[in-house]
Amino acid sequence: MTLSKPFPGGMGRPADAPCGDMAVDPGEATPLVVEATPLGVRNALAEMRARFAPSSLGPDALGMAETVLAEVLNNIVEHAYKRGGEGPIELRLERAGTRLKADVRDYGEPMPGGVLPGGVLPESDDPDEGPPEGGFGWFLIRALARDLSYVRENGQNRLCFFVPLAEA
Amino acid sequence: MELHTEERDDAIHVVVAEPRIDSAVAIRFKDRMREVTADGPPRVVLDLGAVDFLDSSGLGAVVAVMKLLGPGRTLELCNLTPTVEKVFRLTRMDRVFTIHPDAEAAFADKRSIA
Repeated sequence: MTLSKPFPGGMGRPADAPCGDMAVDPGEATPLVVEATPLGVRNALAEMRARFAPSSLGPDALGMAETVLAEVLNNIVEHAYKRGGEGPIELRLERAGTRLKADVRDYGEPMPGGVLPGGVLPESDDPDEGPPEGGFGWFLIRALARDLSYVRENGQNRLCFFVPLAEA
Repeated sequence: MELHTEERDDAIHVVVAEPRIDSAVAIRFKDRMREVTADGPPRVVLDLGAVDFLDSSGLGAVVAVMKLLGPGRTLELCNLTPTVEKVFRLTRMDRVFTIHPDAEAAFADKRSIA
């Protein structure tokens, strides 16, 4: 359902820097660790909400952060771990002013080609089939997250990004 | 997946009594929608007022429900919460579905014609 097509042709794809100094210091925060299942994803999102709410920024300020995190985690469950449910997902989350800083790591398959998918809106293969039912995941991540970076190192995928904490 | 339904004239009002439509429940949501709308009226008004969160799996399931209703039947939405509304708007799915602000608006047109 969250299958994302690779960006066709590679033109215009935003440059993704490797995880740099924006990342949370590994020794600084104990990561939240959840299992790579739909319920593990739910637990991670509930924990994120509990940790950062109530927000002085408004009742829905965490909505976009929850959307991006959900899509990132769903992709790890479906693609990195291939729905096997085997393996942990580690989240390091930190509020930085009006943004949420996220560092998400897993030990599954690397991103195809070692790069992040693009963020084009999916289209139906056949117009008679009506609108697409999937492929929205990376579109939503690209639309809402900032400073996305990805690095694959020693069997670990590490994705870092910021999400604005703002009313929908 | 708890759904409450009420038939009104040529429409069925389906209220999703769950806070989330995500990858954990998307398939169940689709199956339950298929059950409650089978052989029903042509218009289906899906009330998402209790749904605080919908991910891309949930969005795909709503599109799938529209397709399984088939030609001659419509799926309309009402009562979207801010985060859900934003997901529909960003993905341009707000142009695919008729979206009413609330249930009253969804059923108002019909009354004025009658």
